[in-house]
Amino acid sequence: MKVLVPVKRVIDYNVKVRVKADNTGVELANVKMAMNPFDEIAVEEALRLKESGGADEVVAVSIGPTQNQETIRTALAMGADRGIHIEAPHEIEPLAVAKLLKEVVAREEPGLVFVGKQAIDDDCNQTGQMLAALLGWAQGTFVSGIEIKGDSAAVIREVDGGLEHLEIRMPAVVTVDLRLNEPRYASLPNIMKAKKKPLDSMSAADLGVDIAPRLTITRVEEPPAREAGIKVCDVAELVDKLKNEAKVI
Amino acid sequence: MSTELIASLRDIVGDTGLKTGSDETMSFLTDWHGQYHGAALAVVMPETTEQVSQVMAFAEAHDIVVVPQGGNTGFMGGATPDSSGHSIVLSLRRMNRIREIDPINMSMTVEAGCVLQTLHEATEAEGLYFPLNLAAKGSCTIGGNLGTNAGGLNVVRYGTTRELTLGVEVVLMGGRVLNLLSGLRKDNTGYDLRHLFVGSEGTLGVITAATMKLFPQPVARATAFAEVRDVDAAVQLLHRLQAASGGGIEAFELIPADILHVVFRHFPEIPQPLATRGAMNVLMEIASTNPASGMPDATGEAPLQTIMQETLATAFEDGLVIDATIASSEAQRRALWDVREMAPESHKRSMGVARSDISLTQSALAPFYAEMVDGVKAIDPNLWICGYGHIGDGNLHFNLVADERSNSDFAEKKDDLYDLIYDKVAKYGGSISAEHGIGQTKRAQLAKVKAPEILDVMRAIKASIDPKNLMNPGKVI
Ligand SMILES: Cc1cc2nc3c(=O)[nH]c(=O)nc-3n(C[C@H](O)[C@H](O)[C@H](O)COP(=O)(O)OP(=O)(O)OC[C@H]3O[C@@H](n4cnc5c(N)ncnc54)[C@H](O)[C@@H]3O)c2cc1C
Ligand SMILES: Cc1cc2nc3c(=O)[nH]c(=O)nc-3n(C[C@H](O)[C@H](O)[C@H](O)COP(=O)(O)OP(=O)(O)OC[C@H]3O[C@@H](n4cnc5c(N)ncnc54)[C@H](O)[C@@H]3O)c2cc1C
Repeated sequence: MKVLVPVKRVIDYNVKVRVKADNTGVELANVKMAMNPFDEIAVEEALRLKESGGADEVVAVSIGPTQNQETIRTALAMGADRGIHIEAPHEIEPLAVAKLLKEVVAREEPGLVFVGKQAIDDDCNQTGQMLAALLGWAQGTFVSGIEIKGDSAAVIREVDGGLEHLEIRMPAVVTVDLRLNEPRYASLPNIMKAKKKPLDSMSAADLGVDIAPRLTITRVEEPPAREAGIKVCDVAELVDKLKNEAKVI
Repeated sequence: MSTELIASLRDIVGDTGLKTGSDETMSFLTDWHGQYHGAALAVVMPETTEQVSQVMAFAEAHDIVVVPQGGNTGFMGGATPDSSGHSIVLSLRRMNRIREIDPINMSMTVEAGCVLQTLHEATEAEGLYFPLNLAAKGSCTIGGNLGTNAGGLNVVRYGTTRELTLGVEVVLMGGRVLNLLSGLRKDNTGYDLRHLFVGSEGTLGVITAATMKLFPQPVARATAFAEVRDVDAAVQLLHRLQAASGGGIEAFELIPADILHVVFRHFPEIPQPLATRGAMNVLMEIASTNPASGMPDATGEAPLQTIMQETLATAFEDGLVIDATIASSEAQRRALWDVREMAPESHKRSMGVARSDISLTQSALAPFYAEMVDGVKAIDPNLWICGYGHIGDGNLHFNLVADERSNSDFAEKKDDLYDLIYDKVAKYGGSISAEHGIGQTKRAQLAKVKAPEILDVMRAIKASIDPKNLMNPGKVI
């Protein structure tokens, strides 16, 4: 079985995001980028499946500008076998991504698609679900545990009330959550091997998908700055402030 | 008598500048390791150089010993008074103004009580970089850094605190203020007194402010953790990476297997960098101020990342490197640094530790290390041999850590262990204190290893500036 893992290139989680001066988006020039952390977890899970004999090939796919090849190399260095790069602008909507992935799935015929539950830049949490719907496949979302049983997968979903245990038919789309695993570091031999692993490039047009945006971003703003805290002298003043200023008691 | 003295001190620094109750003063009278417990008339916290000067005039007039203190993170008990109760602790913490950041001259003038991390933040906000960096950055002060001539993680590239210092403002016992503040990079007008006070651990005067060098902010980094064949391989890798990166090494830290054992025991949540724990490892970082070095180029790879990969790959082929990983995100980079930065805290949580802070020439590191491992095993084969640290600049913290595996009589073996360390340091012409200073902990050892004529000159300097021996006596010499 083949596992397909889409990996997104996002602003590094630890970098302070700055809004562009003209409020049209966030500043990307000279900003450190990295693989979306949830996608790292998806790659890790696919690799573990392969290592335990449950899969025989892991294919990483990334959609975006040329620089996204670095993100694919990161997946290859972790241990993925092959990469596919689909040339597209950095700003691309989840529906267009899902449509492109559907075409990749048609060509690659994976048994499972592991995607991060959301990307930490736009927080959409849509791609996996849209892809499952477009394919007419089963989906397991927010997954923190997975076990393959023949042609179905037992997944544990992190839901508001607790954990939901589901068995889903394969092929399936699984969106992975934080607690599924701890992604590995890429080892030096694997980093060097990754340079020689196959990486195919294609364009959205090659796949016959219209990726024109359907949404217009009207304005992007910084969140309001938090006001500095103050020191109160005693409990009475604290209670007074909570009552009359914060109005929380 | 003491109430009158306290009242006079209060007149100088005001109510908020004086602490006398044992609750309030306790944290000022015990060192970071909890090894020394002193007593004091009061903790005096002036807000201005003028107030420091008045306190120092008053102290000399009344023969009061003054113990300068910053963040009280020093490792040698230098900021803890003796138990007589006749001293005052002069805490600079309230003198924490940044007087000036000069982006044109690439320098800043700051007061002694500024916490190191706030200086990082303030300079970063100006797009500048103050490279002094140690794990105590959230509490140590620039005054304490100057007092101890602190080293830290980035010495390999930017030098020690001394090398970052352009000028100082010092108050002498009696109250005279020496204004040696200056943004000048070259100034050959007589004896360069600033260097007398940097590293004097509060025994010559109170540093109230300093002018420090600033640098362009590095914006691109490549960070790797590698298992190396041995200490010799680590040193060879250092020079290869230095050459490949054009002198871009920001940090280069040695981490033996026993450090990994002790750190992961106390901090199991930190991810393991490599699939197997290697006997000898290095954490290394190269950095550049050019943003393009961190961005993928036509090859799809960031140039800095490529330098790191290729250096490690060649070293791997040559048998110097056994395994390695390179951080692919800032989160991974920080997790790799956690392994190093949690080492002091993990030692503090262990059952016992014999600590050292030594430096050696690069050429002596490997033979020294090998002889030390044999020597320690002969004393107690069950100790964790944690010789680690800033080998990029020849500095090792050769610590021996005890746990329930080690024999219970660790305390009795400490003397043998220290004798071993200092014998080997002497044999290889090293230093018994690379960056932590002498304080009270190593005073006796200093007297043993320094030539008498050198000690004589040190004492003569001290006596000429502080004839009544009121500045932090019992420390250093
Ligand atoms: C977790 C941890 C990690 C550390 N890592 C490093 C490291 O990597 N490298 C390193 O070099 N050190 C390290 N240290 C030791 C220590 O933090 C440094 O020596 C630091 O520079 C001390 O600063 P401080 O403000 O806490 O000084 P204090 O502990 O308050 O004082 C230290 C000495 O300086 C004198 N002094 C303080 N302020 C003044 C002043 N204004 N004028 C004159 N004398 C003064 C004191 O009298 C005393 O002798 C570490 C400490 C900790 C707790
Ligand atoms: C053409 C020219 C160009 C120069 N360019 C520069 C320049 O670019 N930068 C610069 O800084 N200087 C420059 N100088 C000045 C001078 O060359 C330097 O200061 C040089 O370092 C002096 O070395 P010297 O051996 O000639 O010392 P001398 O002239 O012999 O002595 C200079 C001082 O050092 C003392 N001294 C000499 N030897 C010792 C010793 N062994 N121990 C203790 N004290 C000692 C002497 O007593 C005297 O006070 C230049 C001079 C010339 C003629």
